[in-house]
Amino acid sequence: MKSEELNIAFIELKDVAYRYAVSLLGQSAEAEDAVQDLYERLWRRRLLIRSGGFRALLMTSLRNLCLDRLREKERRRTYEPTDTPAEESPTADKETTDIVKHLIEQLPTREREVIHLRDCEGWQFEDIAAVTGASEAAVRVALSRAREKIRDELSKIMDYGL
Amino acid sequence: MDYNDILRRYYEGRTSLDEEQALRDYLMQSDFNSLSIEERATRQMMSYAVGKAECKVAIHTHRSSRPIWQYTLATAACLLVIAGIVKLSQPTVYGYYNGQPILSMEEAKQRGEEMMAALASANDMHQRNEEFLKDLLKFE
Repeated sequence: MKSEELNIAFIELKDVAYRYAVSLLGQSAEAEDAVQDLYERLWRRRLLIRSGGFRALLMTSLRNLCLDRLREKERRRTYEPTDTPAEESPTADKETTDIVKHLIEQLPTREREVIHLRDCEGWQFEDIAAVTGASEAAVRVALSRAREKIRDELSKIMDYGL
Repeated sequence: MDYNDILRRYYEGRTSLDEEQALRDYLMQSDFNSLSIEERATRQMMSYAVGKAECKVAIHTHRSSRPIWQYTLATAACLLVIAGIVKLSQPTVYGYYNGQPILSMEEAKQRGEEMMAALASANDMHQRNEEFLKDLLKFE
């Protein structure tokens, strides 16, 4: 892939990649760093990259990078406290947004990334399956579980008069 | 459109993107107080997803680098083109007359004919001088 091609393709996908990284890592600063890091890695290997299937390559690489960082973070968690500031949402009520964000963060990684790619990015099931390495049926199951968990928790909160 | 059916399949992960969009539109446009608890929860989830999909990030990209031989080649080509333009833009000089360039073919022909006539005239005078000398010697 030529330098210009890589820049154009990456800039086109950077926001999607960033949001996916946020959904996996939970923090916008870490997600931004991961996306920049991924760009540097792809830049160094640009001559080996083919133009076709760049989105799948980028998202799969980003997923692996984020999961590596999460594992590293998990190892350090015992002696390094972290804070997770809430994401601002321009369209939803702040309090409810924080609750939904918190509920999504509590989900297992697979369910978290599937609900993000489907509900936030509007991806087809086959594309999600390609990036996550799961079957289409497994993606549907993970999505169903994730949505039900959030619905149930939100319903409980609303029932108590939110 | 049966939104209850879509909502049920939505939670089973069996809806298409179009059906999800239709459900989103329906829930967003409905009066919040008229919705059931499940519908309200779904609407809040969808609102969050829409807001999150608008998040953007800035990254630092590298400039594309070209090999130095490409720049050298391009410079040489530019110089050749400039030299060609300069050469073509100058008038053709057909010769010189009294130190001044002759720039038209007609003038060059005219000057050439004049020069040939002058040569012929000089040759004729030379022959006449030789004959005169011969006659003078005979006379002596």
